[in-house]
Amino acid sequence: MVRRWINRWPLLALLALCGRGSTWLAAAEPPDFERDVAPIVVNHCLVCHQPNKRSGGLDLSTLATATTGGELGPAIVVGKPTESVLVDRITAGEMPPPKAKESKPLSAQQIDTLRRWVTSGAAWPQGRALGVHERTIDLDQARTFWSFRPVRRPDVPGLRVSNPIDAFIEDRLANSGLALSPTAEPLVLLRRLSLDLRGFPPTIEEQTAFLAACSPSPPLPLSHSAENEGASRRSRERERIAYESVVDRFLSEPAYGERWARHWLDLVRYADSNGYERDDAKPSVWRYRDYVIAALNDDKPYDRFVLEQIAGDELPDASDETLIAAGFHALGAWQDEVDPLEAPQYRADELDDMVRTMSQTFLGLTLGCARCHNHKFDPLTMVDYYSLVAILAPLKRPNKGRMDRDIPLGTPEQIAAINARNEELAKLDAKILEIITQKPADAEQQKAAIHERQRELRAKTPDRPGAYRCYEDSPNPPPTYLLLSGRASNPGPLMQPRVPAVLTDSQPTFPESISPSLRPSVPPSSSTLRRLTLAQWIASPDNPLTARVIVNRVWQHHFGEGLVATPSDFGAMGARPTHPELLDWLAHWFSHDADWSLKKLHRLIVMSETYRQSTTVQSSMFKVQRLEANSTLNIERGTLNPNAIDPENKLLWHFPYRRLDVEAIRDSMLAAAGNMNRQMYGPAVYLPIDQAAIEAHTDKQAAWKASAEPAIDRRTVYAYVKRTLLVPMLESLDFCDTTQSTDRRAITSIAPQALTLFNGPFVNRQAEHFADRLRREAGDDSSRQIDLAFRLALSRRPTTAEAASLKRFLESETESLGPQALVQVCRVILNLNEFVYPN
Amino acid sequence: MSANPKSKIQNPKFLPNPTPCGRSRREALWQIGGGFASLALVDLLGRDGFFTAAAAAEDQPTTHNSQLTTHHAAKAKHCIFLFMNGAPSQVDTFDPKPALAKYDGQPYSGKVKVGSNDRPVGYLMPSPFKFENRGQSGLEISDLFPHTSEHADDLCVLRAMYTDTAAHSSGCLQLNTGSPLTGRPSLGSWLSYGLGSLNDDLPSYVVMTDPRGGPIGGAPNWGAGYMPARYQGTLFRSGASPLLDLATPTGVSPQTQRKALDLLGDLNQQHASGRPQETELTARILAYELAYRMQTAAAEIVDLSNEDAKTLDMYGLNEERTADFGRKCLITRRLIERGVRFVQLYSGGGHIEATWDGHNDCITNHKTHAGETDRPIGALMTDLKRRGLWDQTLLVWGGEFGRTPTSEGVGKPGRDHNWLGFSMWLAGAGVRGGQAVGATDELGFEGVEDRCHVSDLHATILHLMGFDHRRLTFFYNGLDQRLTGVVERQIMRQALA
Repeated sequence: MVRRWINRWPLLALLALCGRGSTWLAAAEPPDFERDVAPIVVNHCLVCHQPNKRSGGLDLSTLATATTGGELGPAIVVGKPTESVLVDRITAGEMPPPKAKESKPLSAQQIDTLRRWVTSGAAWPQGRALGVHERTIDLDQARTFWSFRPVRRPDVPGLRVSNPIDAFIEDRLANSGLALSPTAEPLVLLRRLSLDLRGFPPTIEEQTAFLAACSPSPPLPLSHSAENEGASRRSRERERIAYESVVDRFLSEPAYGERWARHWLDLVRYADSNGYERDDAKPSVWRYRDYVIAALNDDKPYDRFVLEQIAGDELPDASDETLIAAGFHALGAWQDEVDPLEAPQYRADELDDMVRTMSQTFLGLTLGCARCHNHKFDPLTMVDYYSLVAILAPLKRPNKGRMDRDIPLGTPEQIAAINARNEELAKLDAKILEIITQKPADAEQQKAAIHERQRELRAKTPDRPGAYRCYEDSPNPPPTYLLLSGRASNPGPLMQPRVPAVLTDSQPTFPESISPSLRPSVPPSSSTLRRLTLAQWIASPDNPLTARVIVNRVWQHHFGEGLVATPSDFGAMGARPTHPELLDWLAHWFSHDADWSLKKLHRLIVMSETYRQSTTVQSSMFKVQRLEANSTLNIERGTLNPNAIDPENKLLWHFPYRRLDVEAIRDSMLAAAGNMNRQMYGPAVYLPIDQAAIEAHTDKQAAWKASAEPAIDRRTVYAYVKRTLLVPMLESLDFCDTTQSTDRRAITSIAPQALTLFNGPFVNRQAEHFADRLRREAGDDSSRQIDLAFRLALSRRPTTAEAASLKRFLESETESLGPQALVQVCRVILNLNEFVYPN
Repeated sequence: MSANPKSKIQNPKFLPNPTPCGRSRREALWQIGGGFASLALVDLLGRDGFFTAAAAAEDQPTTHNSQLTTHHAAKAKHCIFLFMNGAPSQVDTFDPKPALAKYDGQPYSGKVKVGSNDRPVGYLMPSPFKFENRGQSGLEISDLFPHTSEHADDLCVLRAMYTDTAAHSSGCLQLNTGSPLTGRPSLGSWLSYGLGSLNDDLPSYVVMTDPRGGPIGGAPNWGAGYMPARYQGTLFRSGASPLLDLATPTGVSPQTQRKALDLLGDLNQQHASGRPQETELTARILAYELAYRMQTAAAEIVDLSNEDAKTLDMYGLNEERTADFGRKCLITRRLIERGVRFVQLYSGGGHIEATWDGHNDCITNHKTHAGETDRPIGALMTDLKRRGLWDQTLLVWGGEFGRTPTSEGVGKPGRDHNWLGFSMWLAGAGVRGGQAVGATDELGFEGVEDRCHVSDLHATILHLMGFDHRRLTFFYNGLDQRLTGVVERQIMRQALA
């Protein structure tokens, strides 16, 4: 990996903005220490000649140590370059040591600068100590990295126009001698789409309607006449149209938002409690969850979605909704018991969590690495990191002591009215106290009158719901210092808000860069507008990362893996895109043509043939396409084994198999059993937790009070997530990390999951409901029960062999178990591989 | 990473489906009519690992999914990895540095670049713990470990360990998977893949984490990476119910449970038969069978009622600070007794002082963590010896890296990360005990003699378990992948008996 250090000091961002290093300086003017000298010393000398290293006994971090010098004598003799070892050795080319890693010889100009500086008196500001954290990077070089380059729309390969996704995918497949698999069967597709967009399988009615829409014509005879080709084309077209209308319907259902909100909640490390020892509830954090669901259902443009979460409170049109969205910054774990001595460090840790989550979620950058040192692999510096910290630093937590609390929603006027009302109520309360102590004759009458007055006040100015969010309370930001080694006890230079240098060649100015449409008419009295400036920069089509990152995330959830396999690391250590042109095409289209509409993006993806192809393939269907070009391919009898060419299916020659996440598994069980409680929104529900698991928790029984039916039959997205006590079914089935941004769930297949799904109370309870439903809807005939069960669970009828196995079991077990036998059949069906690995 | 579509695929044995019917031998068994019952027989044929099969000819890399036999006669059948999460300090445990007393409190000005991130290296700090010559061999061990020291003549301390990273997550991953990057198969996965299980009723690879939390980096520390999911570690709780939902649901008889499971297996086989390339489907089928057998086997493992009072006491179960780790060590012996191949125990969980990561006060920290683990580990060794398991079992002790011989600041006895020189120890089957192999410099910063990279350690462990680390391979992404990677690695011959 190429890393070149050049002589530009990051704190001189302003100078960098002017566009130049030091060449434009007039020769007559003595070099300026900060501008001209410090960068050379920091980038070329200090790594070895710092207080911790002192190579050759020399420390160049201060004027005193430099003039004292090392084993070879004083490095700097003021005014006398010829006696200064520093000048002597660099002029001789002995320093920096030519053989050392990362060492780069100084240019003649740099040497001249140092010489002139020593000659002119070696001006060194009083008390100034240089530090290795000041090292900078070669931004021009760094900006050539694929993800930092501007997004340009590439040409769509080939002549195919129907869906550019297919054009890009087929182009790469063809280069490897592969092709897409045939389109999946209608009901397979319907189930895939339903699970993908809604998180549960289609109903019987939806299946029937879809089949009818797909095939109104009589079955095709098995010949290949031109007429039949035409008929087959028409039939495919009919299927496509039927499918398209289902896509639109599913995308318009509220279930879509409930399904896809969870993917977002993983990224923002959403949980309902604060973690740590007490692990108290975050009061109305669920409103943030509901905000995400509603935003997705309303197809809120993604750029606006970004603005609202980063700076919803600073928007000129701030509303309850955007204030709730700004709760994003408060979602992390929170330690409510911090020793005052440790508070500065804890605050730094808290800001670190916020900066990391924000930069990973929106920018796909692992910026957290630059907290204690410049990023080891990416062109991100400590200055980049602490400049972002400076943007979030004005935010305050809503806590009062160890109590976490809400902030009332509403316009400033509404909130002022509530405050006034509360004062009034308090006065009246005081009066009641007075009456109680003084006991006048008409005490009861007086009390009743006051109570009446209080009722009136409350009716006139009702309580407002609260939002759980951080807030700012002043237009003047607190100072943010670069923390040497990431330690609050070791503050370095003062930082200004800034965006990572590698990502822009024109830094926004905070807050002047805010566009007129987003700028409040009067400067706010309680906010710095730093976040709004940043949010606008992130939510811009010119940001090289924002669109690429979100498009890749959406792709990942449709296909199991992103075009970039490391969705929150688009840096040097991350994966490279498998289809870079497709990614850029999608990013550009999404942020321009599609106006950041996620639903348009979903639609484009799920309408593609790439998405609609089948999971299973026969290798014989792959004809050798480019024999000459790929003579090294393994060719057997004119066919290719795609498993040998692309065993991981990176090129997408079939629709990938992947296990459903735990939410879709649990919701599908509820849906199949006909037992899903579709109530949306509101405070979270406490799913039952096994006694054994609760016993292992520090707080034992106090930790968890399970909700009852039917609340516990709500969709999994409404399940309470307690950071120290995860619902075991969620934990066992690869739920996300609740403390850090999760860009991708693990998928494991281990015995404890089988125990959860086969023996666990949830599945066995759903099996009972499922069996009741079958009896209700299919009567007592076992064949009809089995048939219906398969259609509800798998969207297909059982094969003859499957039906026979099930019937045999049902009949033999009914003898001994009675109605329990059907429950056992349901339990088995809910555990089928096909139930959790859709085709 | 994308498989290169133009990669040369010349040798049919590298094709993903090496057997004529398009399945590995093991998968074939699962899928050809015979069902679950016939598996045990076949497994028994090759599982011992104490004989070398002709099939493993010298020039043949062992590839893809096949049930393996060892490359040479194995010294050990089982491995217990005592993972001291957070990184113990070598100069306070197994690497005495009397010279530190001489320089007490002086700033370190040598050449070695240690200290994590840009943290200052600080001031040299001698160990407050007393080192003594132990056993017949006179191996020097600090007084943090009185019980372990009773087995001094069996310990081979590797004093010049080094690794490539000073970050916990990368360090843990590297010690577990050979790579600081996430997503590679772990050592236990390689052994499960290579050796299979000796007991089909229990997972072959068991992990027990600390009650304070798991290691930094999480589940990938016992993940199977690019190998089929069946080779990943299974988390085991040490409480009454080691695995949740272990019991058959109320009202379901054992007969019905078995029949329902057979029905499930039957239907899943029908489904999987058309999708031979989807190993995850097979893994899930296996998971259900394993779960069924675990119901009895796992419950029996953690039922310590037939252990005598003396044993319980020896493991420290009667003392609060040792009870948790002691119970895990005792369960470990029971797992090993029942044929589990690889057991990994974590001491320390969560962050900083809840692990061996003694940044603030390394002294108190190590007293705590050594205090919790020393007695149970000593007991485990005693117990393995008296039960005849010692000669079949390899023990590995250590953390993801070591710590600096300096403190992090004046008056603050914390030590920072040091990946250039640290101590681990091996004991048990095939290990020449009572010696220290390798040495660090005068101050304990950096390995200078007989250095042992983490991957050298892996090579040595594989060797003791019967494998040539260069030939235990798994075909993935166009390459024969190894636990020890592409760089040439050495077996630490001096450590072998």
